[in-house]
Amino acid sequence: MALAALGGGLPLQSPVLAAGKSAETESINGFCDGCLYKKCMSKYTVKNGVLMSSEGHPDGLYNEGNMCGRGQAQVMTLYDPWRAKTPLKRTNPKKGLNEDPGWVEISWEEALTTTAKKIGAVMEKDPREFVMLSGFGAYPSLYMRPFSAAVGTPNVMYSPGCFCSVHSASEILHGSFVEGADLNYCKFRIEIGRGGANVGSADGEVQADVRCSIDKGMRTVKVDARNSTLFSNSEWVPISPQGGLAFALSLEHVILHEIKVFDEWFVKNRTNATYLIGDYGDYVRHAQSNKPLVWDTDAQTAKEFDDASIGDYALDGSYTVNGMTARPSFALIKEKAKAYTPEWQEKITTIPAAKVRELAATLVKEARIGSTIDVNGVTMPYRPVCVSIYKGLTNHQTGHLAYYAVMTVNILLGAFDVPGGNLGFNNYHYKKDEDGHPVHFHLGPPHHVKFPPKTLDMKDLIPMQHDVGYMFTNSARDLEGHWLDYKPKVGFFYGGNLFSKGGSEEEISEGLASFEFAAAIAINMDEHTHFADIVFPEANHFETDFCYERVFERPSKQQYKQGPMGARKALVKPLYDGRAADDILIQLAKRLNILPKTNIIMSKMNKIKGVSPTTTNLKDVWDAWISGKYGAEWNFDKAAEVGQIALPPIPKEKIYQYYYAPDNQVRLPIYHIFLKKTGEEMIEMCKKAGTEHPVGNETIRNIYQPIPHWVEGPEFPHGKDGFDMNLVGWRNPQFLHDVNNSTGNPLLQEVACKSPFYGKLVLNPRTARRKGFNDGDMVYVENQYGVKVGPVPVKTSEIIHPEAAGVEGGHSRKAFSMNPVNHTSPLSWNRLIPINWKTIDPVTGAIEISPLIRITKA
Amino acid sequence: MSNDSSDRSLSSVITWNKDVKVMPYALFGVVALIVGAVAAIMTLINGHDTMFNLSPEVPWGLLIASYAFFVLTASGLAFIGGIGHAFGNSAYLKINRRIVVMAFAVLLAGFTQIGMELGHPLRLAWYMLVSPNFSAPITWMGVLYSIELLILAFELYLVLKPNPTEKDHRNSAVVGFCAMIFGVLAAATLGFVFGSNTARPFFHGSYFSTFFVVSGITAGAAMLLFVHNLVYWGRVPSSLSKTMSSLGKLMATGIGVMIFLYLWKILATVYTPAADGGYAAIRELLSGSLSTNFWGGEILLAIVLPLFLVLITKAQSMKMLGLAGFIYIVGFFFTKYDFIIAGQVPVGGDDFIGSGINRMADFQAYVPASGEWLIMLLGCGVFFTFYFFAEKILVLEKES
Amino acid sequence: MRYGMIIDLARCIGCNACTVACKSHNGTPKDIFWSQVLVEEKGEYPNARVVPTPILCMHCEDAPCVKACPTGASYKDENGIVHVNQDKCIGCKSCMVACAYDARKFMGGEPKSYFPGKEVTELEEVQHTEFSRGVVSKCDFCADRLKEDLLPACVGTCPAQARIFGDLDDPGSEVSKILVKKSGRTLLSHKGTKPSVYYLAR
Ligand SMILES: Nc1nc2c(c(=O)[nH]1)N[C@H]1C(S)=C(S)[C@@H](COP(=O)(O)OP(=O)(O)OC[C@H]3O[C@@H](n4cnc5c(=O)[nH]c(N)nc54)[C@H](O)[C@@H]3O)O[C@H]1N2
Ligand SMILES: Nc1nc2c(c(=O)[nH]1)N[C@H]1C(S)=C(S)[C@@H](COP(=O)(O)OP(=O)(O)OC[C@H]3O[C@@H](n4cnc5c(=O)[nH]c(N)nc54)[C@H](O)[C@@H]3O)O[C@H]1N2
Ligand code: SF4
Ligand code: SF4
Ligand code: SF4
Ligand code: SF4
Ligand code: SF4
Ligand SMILES: [Mo]
Repeated sequence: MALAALGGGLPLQSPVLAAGKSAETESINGFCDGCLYKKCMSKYTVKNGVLMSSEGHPDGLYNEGNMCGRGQAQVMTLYDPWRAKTPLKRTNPKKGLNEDPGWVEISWEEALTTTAKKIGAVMEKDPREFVMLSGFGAYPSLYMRPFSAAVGTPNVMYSPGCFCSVHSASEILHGSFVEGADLNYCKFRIEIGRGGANVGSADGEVQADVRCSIDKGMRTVKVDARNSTLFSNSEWVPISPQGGLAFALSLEHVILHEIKVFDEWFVKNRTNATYLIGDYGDYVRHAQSNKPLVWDTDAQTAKEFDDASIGDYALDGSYTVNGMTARPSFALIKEKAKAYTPEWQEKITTIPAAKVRELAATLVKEARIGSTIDVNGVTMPYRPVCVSIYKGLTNHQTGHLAYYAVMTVNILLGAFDVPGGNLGFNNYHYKKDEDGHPVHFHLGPPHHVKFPPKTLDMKDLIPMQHDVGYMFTNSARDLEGHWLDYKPKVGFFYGGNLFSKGGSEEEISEGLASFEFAAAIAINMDEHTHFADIVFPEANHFETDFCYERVFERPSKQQYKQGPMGARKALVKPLYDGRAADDILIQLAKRLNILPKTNIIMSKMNKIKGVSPTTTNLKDVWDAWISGKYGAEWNFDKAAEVGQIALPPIPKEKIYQYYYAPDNQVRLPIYHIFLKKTGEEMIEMCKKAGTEHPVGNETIRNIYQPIPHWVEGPEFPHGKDGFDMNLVGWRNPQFLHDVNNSTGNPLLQEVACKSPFYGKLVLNPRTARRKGFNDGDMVYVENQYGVKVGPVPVKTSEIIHPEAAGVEGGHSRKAFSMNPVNHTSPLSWNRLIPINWKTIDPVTGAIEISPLIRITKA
Repeated sequence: MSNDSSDRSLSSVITWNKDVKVMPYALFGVVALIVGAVAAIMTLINGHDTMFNLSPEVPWGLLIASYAFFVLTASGLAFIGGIGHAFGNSAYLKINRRIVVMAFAVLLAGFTQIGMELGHPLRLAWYMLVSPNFSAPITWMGVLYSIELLILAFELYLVLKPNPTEKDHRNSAVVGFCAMIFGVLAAATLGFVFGSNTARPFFHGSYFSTFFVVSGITAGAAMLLFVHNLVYWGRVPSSLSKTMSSLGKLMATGIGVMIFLYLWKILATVYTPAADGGYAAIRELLSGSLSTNFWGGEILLAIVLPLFLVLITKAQSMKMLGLAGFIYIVGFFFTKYDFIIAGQVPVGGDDFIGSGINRMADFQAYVPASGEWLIMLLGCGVFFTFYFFAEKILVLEKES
Repeated sequence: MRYGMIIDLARCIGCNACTVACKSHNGTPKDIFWSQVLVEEKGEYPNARVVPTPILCMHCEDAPCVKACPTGASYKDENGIVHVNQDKCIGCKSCMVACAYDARKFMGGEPKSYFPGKEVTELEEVQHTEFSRGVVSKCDFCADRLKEDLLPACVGTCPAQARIFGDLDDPGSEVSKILVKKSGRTLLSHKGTKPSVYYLAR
């Protein structure tokens, strides 16, 4: 029996993929686009022209035949009667969430010409007035950015913006978009504020996690405001929401001051811990070469950091160099950590001091400092421990500091870019600058801060920003206050949602209504269409050919250097009059006479060769793309036969940066010199312009320090005026995001509603008792800035910290023109999230996702 | 047989009972029947989902309770009738016709309930014939109650036959005895439908077979007491007082046995909560979502009040006996309803992790929908119409 | 042959992909769930956690539902799969009451659409042909997929690879081997139903 051999959850060696069920039933290969990653290879069953179901393709590199619920349910979106069906024009000039736009159907020609005319007008005068508000829905687009660039606007933003500022420290230290544990070898992992497997994706993350946890016995400790443990061998250490930084600092303290064991070799040879710091916290440099100096304890003299003759490095002590007192940065780091005792942090985090000691001790012990491992014949350090983070740690004003503190712990343990430890995932090969520091990969050198800021998202004032589109709601409503000398006039909405995924409804509405004209590419009549004058219906992706390359890696198997390329043929005949989003952009470009320019930029951005600048045919572009990457024998049609293709995986040893840097010449900046410099630069810059940095110079000075340290953010709970707890949000597996309209998918909603937490305010029973609430009581939730949400029902649960109130999902959707299933979750997390300069992380632009709140009975 | 004599003898059965003032009841029956029938038709058209409030967690609701309520009463009536025949109990033989008509009408009412409860009532007969599964208790229950209906129909024919011969008398005694045996068997088998269920520990075992039979007989007595009071508008003729007081004693005895059964079932379960003997269900009855029903409906209405009324009047006051009968019948309904719902309380315990949350919620959410009440009304309508028209046009009392 | 499944509770993340896969592959109408994930909170803060338990028809060897079915609509096939013949079912629901595992679902009306108030979608039009009103339906271990040598939908889809499927009678099968190595537990084993779905301890 063939099936007998299948078990084990192992991928089935696909005997019957092409074979249909019966004559009229076809099985078609493709890839799933149920979430933004689109990494899972899939196959689809089409019966008499009806798309019946989808499933994971056993040959899928990442998903190995699996498919998450979102992918499974995606078929529903094709047949969704609530889809955007034909081009529309508004007749009611009044824009608002509760205004009926009075849509009338128009032809594609009219929709395209009207929009092109409006864009053309601002393009001629001042292209900055054209604003592209985008988001995850636009991930598969090859043309969204190129089109905007060809129009000439710098205002392209991911509208919901920085809800996941989890890139900064990883960029600086790993050169990678995100970091995580090496799930090949890791044995002990602490995760702070990471839902992780909770989001239930099939794209390799869960598989690798569960294999490492269950089959290989990795122990995971989740430091989280709610219990997000899933596997049997993961443990929960509850932490008060604003406590992540304090906890990380205390781990550092215990390692440096109590256990006093760390990976000295690693710290000396691969970080700037040895660099001598002089007056004002700057490096002490060599007079001629200007290279940073270190102290050679054998020679008892200062030497350039990369001097081959160094006997041993000093990590401690105080020396006189270049006429000033200089100390190795390590000494300063250690000194700073002195105050952060476990007892000190207990008052902030509520984590018992003994627990912190135990965790730190386990980290040190499990790090097996000094041990090595052989990976494919290459001997490397073996440090199977990792402290890893996600947005629960980083989305606070002090998020970047906390992130850096965590990375410092990994570095002290030597568990950094070596087998078992904390890894980056984009296989970036360190390049170093003249100071020996790695050059960043994604963001490039820190964004050059400028004053006055040029764009609506204010990214010129946020050096490590990543998608700060949310600022638009502030800047558009107060141009002058944001030093802007132009007014945004034409908006274009495509694939991002400020309402369900951004902040306060009223402010967003005001911002969006301020456009003189706006157009939207939409798959359904979502909130943004309420602010559009023209709606372009995007065809469901199953109705058109579809091609996508996954670029960013996630902590999973990380064996593939590049994400795979997915290709999928149209599976069914179009149900309505929609078009592919990129086709719409191409047609607009053509009418604006910027098609060649758009195509050229598009080719450059995506590294595609041989695209005719005048082509309007997406398939030509895909053919060129695929054959350029995979060889002339490949094209879209061939790739679509398979569904997903990928370059061969890189050998396992090469996933570790260590492999590329045996010379120990790359020095990780454990002493965060860049932060210090940038902070000073910003204050100086603003001062010259006669103003303060909008975050406040005081805060900039506080945060922009080279060594992670404790800062109490503006959302810290002191209990004043009843604001005594923080709101925390997490995702349910059904609605990771809204890609492909997951919250509007009634099947996903049906399943989501089975969760005991969905749509409720989750409170610890002790907290509820103290406040006099019972299960099912209706309450209001209010933030410090006067936003009040409710009434929402209380659900008591033991899995939440007593100082936290929890929201699962939290995207409460508003537009009445959408399928009413969207409105099942009344509790909007986003509305309570403050979006203002005073609460964001000034380094990354992260929004505070755990705002201080007050709960009152309704 | 000459026309003449046949006419005369027919009139010994069919008349127009001028003094029997039961038209209001019969008319109530007709109205109930019509309203219920409309609900039934709507159910047939729209399906259960829109009319009933059942869920995967509580698949058996009010209609199974009302079904049990009716058919067990019918069994009880058949039992009482059977006693008359078997032991020549003249007190009961006197009202034998009434008993048979009543049993038949009540059983018919019961059949409407199960019929409407089924997703596919029409398939029932066919597949029970074509591919009956004899290991299913419900098959036997169906078979036995069908036989019971046939027996009662035959008995009805015999007792209403004009000019009954001696042979007819003997036959009807045999048939009456059969009705008693099958009635009791059917009731016990209905108990076994539940008793054979291992999934719901509260149902499991022999308890309900016993309880069904005992409470059913009690219900039969109560029904007769109540209906006689209806028929005579509270003034039951003295010729029947012996019968009535005998029924009253029967009812009191039945309640006495029920007390006994209740006590030990509850004690045995509460004493060993861990033994998976239906503790969750008992808890639900004693202090949970069904506790009002249990204490108010069962203990007060089915036990305390009727027993009290019978005892303080020494089973002599006709009115009080009628009242006690009525109260008991209401209580009897609760005993069926509560037990069927409570039995479906989720199986708990560590072994079925998770059942605690999900299923408990849905369990407590079960409240019969108006559609279900209306179908139950249909059952009542069938009974009232059939029975009281019979009262009006048949001679249901014999000198004996 | 006796088909069986192992659900490794240590792996399960409660994501409900199985639930959705089952719904989507079998086209069960709204409200009808053959595969479910029960969740329960266990313990007290801070030693509390949420534990998911996926359930489906246990395809009991000694199936009380089959015993309880008056018409023989519920039956067990030669591979140990318990089916409901929808044409024979009279909708008496005794099987539901007899099943301790919440595996059976009664559809007391026309199949419900996921888009109430809208025209029935092409997809649901096809899906609903498989379902008739007034009868009980349940998991059949995806018998149609087994015929094509495919794994049951919920097994193949599980991102945590927590589900293992195979022939319990074949000592060489993955399921048998695992059950020899680790002790699998059945739910409510004291009921004597002998489920074919085993659970590995959390
Ligand atoms: N409540 C809540 N808010 C959040 C988060 C959360 O988990 N919960 N997560 C935060 C994070 S980390 C991020 S990265 C952001 C992401 O937020 P966004 O970038 O906004 O991404 P989505 O929510 O996936 O999609 C936004 C909009 O695009 C539309 N859309 C989806 N697919 C398509 C498509 O194919 N074509 C077109 N034209 N439109 C499409 C959807 O209908 C939706 O209105 O959200 C952040 N905000
Ligand atoms: N397949 C697939 N994978 C994806 C994505 C996708 O679209 N598809 N999206 C990706 C994206 S954009 C993101 S942002 C990630 C999201 O991935 P995660 O960040 O893992 O997702 P969340 O569920 O939002 O987890 C946030 C956790 O932080 C905790 N938390 C919240 N506030 C606080 C706090 O103040 N302190 C502490 N200590 N904890 C807190 C919450 O309880 C929760 O457990 O998923 C990514 N993964
Ligand atoms: S993780 Fe889920 S939604 Fe995303 S591509 Fe994979 S199967 Fe599709
Ligand atoms: S798909 Fe797998 S991991 Fe997810 S709930 Fe089902 S069994 Fe558990
Ligand atoms: S789980 Fe329930 S439905 Fe399935 S075989 Fe067992 S008793 Fe029957
Ligand atoms: S509902 Fe159908 S399958 Fe279940 S016992 Fe009755 S006839 Fe059999
Ligand atoms: S085996 Fe098939 S029918 Fe049964 S629960 Fe799994 S997916 Fe559903
Ligand atoms: Mo994100």
